[in-house]
Amino acid sequence: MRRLRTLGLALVGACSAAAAAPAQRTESNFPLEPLHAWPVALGGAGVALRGAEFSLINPAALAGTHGAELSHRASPIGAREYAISVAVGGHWGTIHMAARRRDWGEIAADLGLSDLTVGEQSLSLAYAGRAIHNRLGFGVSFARLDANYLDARTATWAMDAGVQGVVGRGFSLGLALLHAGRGFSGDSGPAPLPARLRPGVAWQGKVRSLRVATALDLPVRSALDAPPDVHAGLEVGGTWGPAKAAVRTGYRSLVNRDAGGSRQGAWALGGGLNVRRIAVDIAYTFGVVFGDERFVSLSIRW
Amino acid sequence: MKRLVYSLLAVATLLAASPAQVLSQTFVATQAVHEVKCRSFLGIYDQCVTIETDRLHSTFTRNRLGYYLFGRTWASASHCTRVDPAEQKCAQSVFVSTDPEWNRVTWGQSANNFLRVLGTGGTVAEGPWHFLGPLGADISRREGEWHVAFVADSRNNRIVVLALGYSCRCARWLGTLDGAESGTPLRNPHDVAWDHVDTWSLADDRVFIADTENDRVVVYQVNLNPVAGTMTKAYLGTFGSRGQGPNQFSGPQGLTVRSFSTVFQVPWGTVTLLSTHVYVSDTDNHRVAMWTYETDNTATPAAQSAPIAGAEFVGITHDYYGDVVVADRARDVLMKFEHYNGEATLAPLKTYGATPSWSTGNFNHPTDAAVIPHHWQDSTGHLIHEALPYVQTVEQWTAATGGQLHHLGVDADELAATPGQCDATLTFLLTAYGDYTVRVVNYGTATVVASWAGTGVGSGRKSEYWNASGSPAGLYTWFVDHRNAYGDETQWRTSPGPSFNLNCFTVTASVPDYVSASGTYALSGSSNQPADSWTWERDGSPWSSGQNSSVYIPDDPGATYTINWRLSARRTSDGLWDSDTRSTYVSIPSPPPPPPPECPPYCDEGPLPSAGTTRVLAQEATPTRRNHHLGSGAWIGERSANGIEVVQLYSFVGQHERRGATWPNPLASDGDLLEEPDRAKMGARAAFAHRSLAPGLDAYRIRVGTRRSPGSERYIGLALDPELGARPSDDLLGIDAESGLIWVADPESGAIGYLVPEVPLGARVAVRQFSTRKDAWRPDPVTDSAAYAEISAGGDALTGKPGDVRLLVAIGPLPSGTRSAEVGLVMLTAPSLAALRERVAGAPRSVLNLFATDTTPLAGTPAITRFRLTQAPPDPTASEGVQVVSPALIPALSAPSDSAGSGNGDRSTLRDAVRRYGITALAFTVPDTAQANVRIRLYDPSGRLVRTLVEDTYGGGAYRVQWDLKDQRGRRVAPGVYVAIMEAQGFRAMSRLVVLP
Repeated sequence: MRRLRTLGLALVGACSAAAAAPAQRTESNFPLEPLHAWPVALGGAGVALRGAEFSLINPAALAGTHGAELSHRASPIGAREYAISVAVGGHWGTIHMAARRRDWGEIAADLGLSDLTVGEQSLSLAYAGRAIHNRLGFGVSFARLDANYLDARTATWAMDAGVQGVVGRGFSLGLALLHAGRGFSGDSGPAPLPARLRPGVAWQGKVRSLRVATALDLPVRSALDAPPDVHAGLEVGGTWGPAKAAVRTGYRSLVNRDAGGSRQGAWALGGGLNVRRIAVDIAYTFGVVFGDERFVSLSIRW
Repeated sequence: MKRLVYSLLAVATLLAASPAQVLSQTFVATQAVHEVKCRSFLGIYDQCVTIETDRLHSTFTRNRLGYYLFGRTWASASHCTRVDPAEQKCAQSVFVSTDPEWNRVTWGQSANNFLRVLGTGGTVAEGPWHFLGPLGADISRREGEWHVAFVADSRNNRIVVLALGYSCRCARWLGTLDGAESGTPLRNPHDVAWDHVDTWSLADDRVFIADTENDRVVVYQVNLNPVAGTMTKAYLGTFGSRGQGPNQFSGPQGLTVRSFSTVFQVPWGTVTLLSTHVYVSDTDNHRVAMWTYETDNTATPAAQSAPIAGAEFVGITHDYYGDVVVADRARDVLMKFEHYNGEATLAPLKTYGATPSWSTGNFNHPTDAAVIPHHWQDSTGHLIHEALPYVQTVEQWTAATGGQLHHLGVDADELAATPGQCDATLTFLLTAYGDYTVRVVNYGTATVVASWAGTGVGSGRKSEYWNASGSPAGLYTWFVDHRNAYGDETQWRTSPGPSFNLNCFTVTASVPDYVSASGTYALSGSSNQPADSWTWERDGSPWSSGQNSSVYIPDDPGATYTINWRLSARRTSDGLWDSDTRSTYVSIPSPPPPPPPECPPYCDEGPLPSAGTTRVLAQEATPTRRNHHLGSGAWIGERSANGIEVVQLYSFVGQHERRGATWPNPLASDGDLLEEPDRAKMGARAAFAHRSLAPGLDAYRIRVGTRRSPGSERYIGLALDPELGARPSDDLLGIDAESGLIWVADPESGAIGYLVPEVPLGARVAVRQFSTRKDAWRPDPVTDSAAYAEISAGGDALTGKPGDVRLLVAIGPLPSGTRSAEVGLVMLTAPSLAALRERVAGAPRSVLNLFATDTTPLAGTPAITRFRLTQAPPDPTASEGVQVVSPALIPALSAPSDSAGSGNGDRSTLRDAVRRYGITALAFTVPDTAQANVRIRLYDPSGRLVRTLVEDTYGGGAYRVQWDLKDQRGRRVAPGVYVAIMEAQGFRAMSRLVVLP
């Protein structure tokens, strides 16, 4: 209970800090969205789902996981993203370390300047555990965010915290506070992080011989002035001997920064194959603006 | 305010007077003065006529800048100061021209890009340097530092004599000629001609004046002393009276004088006769008259042309041979007349032009004419000055080819030999066009001792002279081998000539050909046969006896003369005499010439404008370069059915004085919104940024915005007011062809220069210096066909300070659909014009190119054939919005991406700018032939729309769009990468922007 109380205090503090962040500038575009192909294929939903793959949506999902992931994203806008993470655990909980980088390549090529680049990278350390007879998972993550924009460097700290609980009949609930922090400082004032308070619900069960999982992350309009994006996903899978396979689809809404707050959405499609301890996941997102993006992840469990 | 309005209306008029076409030629004053019309025939002959009319306007142009410095030119006169030996033409000249519209005289030097405007409008009562309708002009030969110009100040009823310093470039008012000595003052004199007589000195020249309304010619003798700034004059007389007789005139409006000397050899020496011909445009009698003017100051009518109905002969000139070329203003032609000795008529020789037109070969109200002098060097390297009548040369050649003889070969009966003691002249008649060879054969030895050949020779009597010196005595014979060049009569035929005897006795003198130092030089003689009675003569006088002699050349620096020697001897055997003539050219070099006279502290000495004008102004206006400013304002003009209308006015006066010298100075947040009478209606705005780079080096960026009006042509005008402070009536001004520098200088106050390094794509820049007289705004007829229309302006004079130098800069037309455009203006000051030029030449490109622009001429700008979207270099001065730019400004548009940024220095500068400001601007192009709806939206990396940056219709061209780093709600965006997507007519492209922390 003490740990839960501590987590609760952290959540309250982080929410206060995030709410108090100045809103003179728009939120940072630092890459904080999940990179693993699994949650991406579910439209980014998964606050209430367990597994290291969902650690960037809710650090409580790390509870009880062991393994490593390697993910890659290829984007039509010229960005390449890489992430590697390792989780080890025991009865005391789970420690998770992750490194991630988004590289924009020769961003000034039009100007004939091939030696100027933009890179955004983060290094995070998370802890997750369980309480109340393992029915409640909790986790907290601290990340160092570092960016290099044309040799101009900036850095900040961010914190994620969340809880997950099983409520029965296959349903689980989750609540996460994501990307809380002071934001990036700069000559023109601080740029806040895209702090979110994201609740979610998931259902996992069997339909005949198939495993079915659905997840829905609900938007919350809060004082955080964050666009209330919606994430929803569906996964259907089965087991064939040592192999497990699944297909997934998802939807994600985006609220534009125009005056009317118009929305747009992106569908995602993906799948995964798990043979013993090794899993490969792929995902495609079909963006209206930029076009298709491709995600691939390799996961090892032990 | 009223003054401002008129000023800006004046700028509008500038557009109306802009050139119909931009010529690609270098700014050379001579080209402005000399309208050279040349035609080449098979590369053999060049037929050239120089016309000097108000077509000056169209020739004062450069690639991008058109300079208008004249209201209307009536006449010009020039003197060649340097001949290009290779080109055999005048490479540099000094000219003076008159501008009766703006009441002033223009004086310039070609090749030096020097141009100066002298005087302003005013009556005699207002003193020197005031003209009223100056018409005819003439200029003297250069003597030392000085030329002397003569100007017919017609409505002031006088002739003005000015001294023009060649290197000092200062002008002095020497005096006037008003004809009062004759008892009848001049009345509206239209022309003046200077006559050097034959002494080649400014001390005893003659001046002939076409006293138009008195129907006479007035003659003065003048003693010109430009160094002292003085002139003395002696009235010599007049000739002519009103009427139509041979010795009468009716409103003569032009005259020219041709003095030449003829040398006759007489037994007692040489006699030089001076002849002077005065050619007069007898305007109202519709004819041209020639008079002879004798040394006793008597004039006699010698010849007249027949009256030509409708002709209005004005400016007149003559060539080396005395043919005259005269401008016929009424019939828009030039006519050439010739005169044969002894005949009483001037016969029309040729007419140039047919219809009033600005096209080549035609003239539009010509008022003056000149013939280009031709120069070449003789075999000794000495320059020979003559004026070749090119036109006549061609005509003669044409006449020579008019007929051909087709008879066979040589007429054998016409072969004749005229032998001398030791030479022979062989003549024969060639009866057809063909080839021939003449052979002289020694009869005793049967050997050919001399031969000549001719190929392609026309028919006629031919003569060959054989100098048989050195040949043995004896009998000789000769033959002509010939063949016809036509048909089948091409075989060689031989005709024998009569034999003849020679008995050569040759005396040869040996003298120094060239002597350049003092000393005694030997003279020696020899002969091929024994001789005696040797005698030397020098210049026709006995020098010494004996076969050998000597001569002493004294030390006389600067002396140049020729000694003519003649050595005679007698053959001992039979007493036959022979002689030899030789010459010695003596040239004792002079010490180095003294340096050019130093310009006095105040160069323009002599009588100054009367009290109250220049002096007072010099005291009132602080002679400091701090006074200069951008001028009174700017405007936007739009072409409509009624012409170009000013749709927006802005005042810049003094605005920058209130601004700090900080940089960058983004207009969006810090720019001045200036005078906007009706912003809602016009949708226009204007602002400018000022950057003080260094003392005396300022940069301005003027941005004018206007409502979008597809299909209309819009223009930007700027008024520049370089207040030098002192002597506003005769500031120097000109254009530096190398740097594009527009400069204004004053001997006392220093110099101001302007550069216009940045103009919108497709726009041209025209610069015009204008007078403050209100009647100076008439449009130039040259530009009637241009894409500019006329705005008439009236009202009071702008400043009341006549002659104040102001410059009007017009930029346009702007590409269709332009919503805003920018002009970069660099202003420099320096203590002198030379220092100003050094400053421009020495300034790094990054300094003069203040706005990350490129001065690539528009002529080199490639055509835009497709849509493109690319990143644009940072521009800290730019505010949010779309501007028309040159593609040369965008690396990705002007060069392959791997070579963008050209030099390492530019690349380093660009890199520094990108690292400092990020990538926050885009450039996009619309094909030249298109007009498209363009939309550019910005997204964050997740695909979230951040801002619609561009959504409008644009015509063909290149545009730069600056993001103010705000989202659609007006909040500043966070640092990071943003993605821009451009969509236009099915075209879609993406680019990326980087916002720094």
